[in-house]
Amino acid sequence: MNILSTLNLYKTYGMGDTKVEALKQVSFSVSKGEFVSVIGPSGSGKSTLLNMVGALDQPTSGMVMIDGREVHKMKEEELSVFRRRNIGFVFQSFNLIPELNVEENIVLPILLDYQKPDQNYIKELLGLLGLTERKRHLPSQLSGGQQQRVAIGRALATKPAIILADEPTGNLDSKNSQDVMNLLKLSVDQYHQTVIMITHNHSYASFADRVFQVNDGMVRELGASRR
Amino acid sequence: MKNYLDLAPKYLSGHKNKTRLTVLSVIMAVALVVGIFSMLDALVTFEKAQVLKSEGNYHILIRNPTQTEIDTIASRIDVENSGILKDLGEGKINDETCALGYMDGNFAGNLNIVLAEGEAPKNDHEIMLEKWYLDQLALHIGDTINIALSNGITDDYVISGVINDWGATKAASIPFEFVSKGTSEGLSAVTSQYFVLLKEGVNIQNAEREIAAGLNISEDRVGYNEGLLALMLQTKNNRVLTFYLIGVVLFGLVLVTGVVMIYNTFNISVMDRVRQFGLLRCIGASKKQIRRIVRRESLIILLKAIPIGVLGGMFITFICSGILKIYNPYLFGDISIFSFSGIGIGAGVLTGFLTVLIASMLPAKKAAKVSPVNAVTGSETVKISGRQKQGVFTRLFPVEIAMGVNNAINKKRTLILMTSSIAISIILFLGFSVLVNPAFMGMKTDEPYTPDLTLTSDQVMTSELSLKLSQLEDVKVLGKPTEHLIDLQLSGKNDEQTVNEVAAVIDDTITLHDKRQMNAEADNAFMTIAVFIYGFVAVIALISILNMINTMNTSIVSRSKYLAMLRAVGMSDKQLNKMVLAQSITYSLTGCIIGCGLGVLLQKKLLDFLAADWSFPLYQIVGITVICIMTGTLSVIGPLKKIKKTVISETITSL
Repeated sequence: MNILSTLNLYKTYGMGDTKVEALKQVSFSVSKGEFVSVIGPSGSGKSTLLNMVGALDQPTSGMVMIDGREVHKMKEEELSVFRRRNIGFVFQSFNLIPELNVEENIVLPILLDYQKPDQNYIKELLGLLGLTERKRHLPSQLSGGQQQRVAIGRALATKPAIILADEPTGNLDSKNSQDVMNLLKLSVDQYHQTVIMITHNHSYASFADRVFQVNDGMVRELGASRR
Repeated sequence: MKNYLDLAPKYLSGHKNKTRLTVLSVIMAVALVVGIFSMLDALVTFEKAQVLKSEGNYHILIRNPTQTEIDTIASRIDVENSGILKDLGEGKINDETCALGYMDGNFAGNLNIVLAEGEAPKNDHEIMLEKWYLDQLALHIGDTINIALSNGITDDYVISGVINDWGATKAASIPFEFVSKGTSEGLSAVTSQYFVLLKEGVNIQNAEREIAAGLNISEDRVGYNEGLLALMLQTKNNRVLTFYLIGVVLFGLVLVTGVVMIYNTFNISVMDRVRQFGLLRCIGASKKQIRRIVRRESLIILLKAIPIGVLGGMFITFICSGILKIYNPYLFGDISIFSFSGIGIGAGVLTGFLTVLIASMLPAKKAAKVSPVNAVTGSETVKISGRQKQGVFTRLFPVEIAMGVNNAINKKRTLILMTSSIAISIILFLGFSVLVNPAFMGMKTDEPYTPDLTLTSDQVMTSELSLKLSQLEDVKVLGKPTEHLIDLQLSGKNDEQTVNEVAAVIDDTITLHDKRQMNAEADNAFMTIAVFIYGFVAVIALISILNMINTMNTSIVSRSKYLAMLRAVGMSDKQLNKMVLAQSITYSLTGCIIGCGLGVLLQKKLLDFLAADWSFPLYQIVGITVICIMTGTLSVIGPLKKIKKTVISETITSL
């Protein structure tokens, strides 16, 4: 079952001389429970792709379907709700809310959806992330690796259809990077999550079920990696 | 945390310094309004009492009324009380002029003809006179006094009662004598005035029109108690209405100032968090939810600021009343120090709510508009326009100063906000200073040459007399005394004793005019308004200064990485100081120039409007400029300290 598919996606920035085609003719699909990694040099269009898939930005033309719904036909308010329920983000620079502690950061998306957090699930998540002891800590009291684990917890909190991770290991040392990769992998295996991850690191790319390469706005599948 | 809105208090308590500044500026705005309105309330109450004391408690008067008119008016349902005062011309007591009159007993109290001792004259040969005159003649109740009435008949009268002094008659040295009704009917009145006090809540102008039309009374026969009507906002007097209009305009300006400044604070707080709002949008916050978070923040600030602001405003009122009372116990002795003004508090709370709601609306909208992409790309940095600058500043100034000036000018929005908040304060100051002008307010005040006592005589006063007077302790002879007039000023505390000493020096041919009470009356009203207005402007200036400090603080802290980078590539602390200082001085001077320009214009317009003379306010402008530069300097000290404390490498690596 396709959880995500794009069809003939185009994105252009600017006009005339300064016109840049960030994405060209992008068509692919991802099934539920798949771990996809996206690689490519700087400026190749990786982040633009992520913005399209994450319903953060409008394509110039083409279509994005998530969980059977066409994202860009939704109205602003609808889209917010859709995003909070279906997409989890993990950023390179963690991007936690500095005033909230670990647990609060994790449950925030649930609260934004006016839901009551399932305490058992949150407890389980904290355990999985190895943050049970630190759930009352503020982000500034955590190491980079711990912060990124909180961010993954936040992305998992609403059990979204897709987790989009933009270079999640970019700011981490190899030990912490390994932890984060394991966690992402675990969420795929344990919760049947779909993960799309941008990375520079080819060895982490090989964690994935499939690898896409972006080059000059074109997306190409490198074929199934070893699994 | 139970609700996403809990983010608001968490954010506020996570940024204590910033929150404190915001709360402080709201507190000041609220306190200012509460203070103004409470003070106004207290002063109106007080001035009303003063007017009732000096002018009397009546609304309108009819000159030379006929008996029919009196009867008709007195029987009206909207008339509370009325009475006639007759001027029965001049009489003579021991060849000295006195004024004779008659007043209806039921209205005497309304005109402050208050019996101090004895009783009002009832019978033909009874008379009532002023206390000071009684003391001067060393007479007592029951004594007889020989008076030549205006009809030429001289007779002995029994003093039946004494009334309290009237300021005006005391200064003119013409005593007022009240005769009985019987006596008054035997004399022809020079003029008579029929005073009317209408019932509470009656529309005075309508009632007056009705009376005049119904009885066919011509306009010139109708008079008003202007002071009282002005305080009741029932006046037709153009001058007073103009005055109120100016008050409304200036108050409007104050509101605008409040909104602009609080808006500025909220705006800075929102712009600082573009990334955070973008992030919230990424994890699923809708625009509405972001707006709610910002609104919740402002609500929390309000709840903190309003109670303190109200207390602060009451405190301001307390201090102001205290100053007035201590400064001028003679006249403000009766003002209540503790006043609880419902109007004042209501106005303050309302302004607080309105200002904060209006001021937070736009930033909340702006926050909601933040694109979630910002969180991912972090592209919230200032976009420099495509056109390249020609580097004029680098040619004029050393590079660090040029950079500072450029920083100020490039951020147009901040420049506009900073400049406008400073400019508005200056405009307000210059505008309000027009009001602190005794000439315009039609009041005489204590200038160095205002005499306390004036001696006049029909006969020649010798220079020896003035010499003798100037040798008295605490007495100064003003100007060049003429043969018929000597002005004296008292400098001591024990004025009463000095006056007695002066009185002892002069003989019977010389009249002593005691002008102290009249002077003080003019003085007090002026003082009230001056204290009030300058206090008011001071608070506005303070809000403006706080605002500037706040803006500089955020502007510097938000660019700490940029500054660390500059230090890393070799900018010294001294150069850093100069750069940041250049930035803040650019703000304050631009504001200063615009403010002074518009303020002077406003001043000129207001004075033209009031048909008063205007001269270029050079001293004010110099003072304002100095204060502006000082504020600019002060506002960077704190943040600079903070920046220098941080280690360069720490800031840089977090890039």
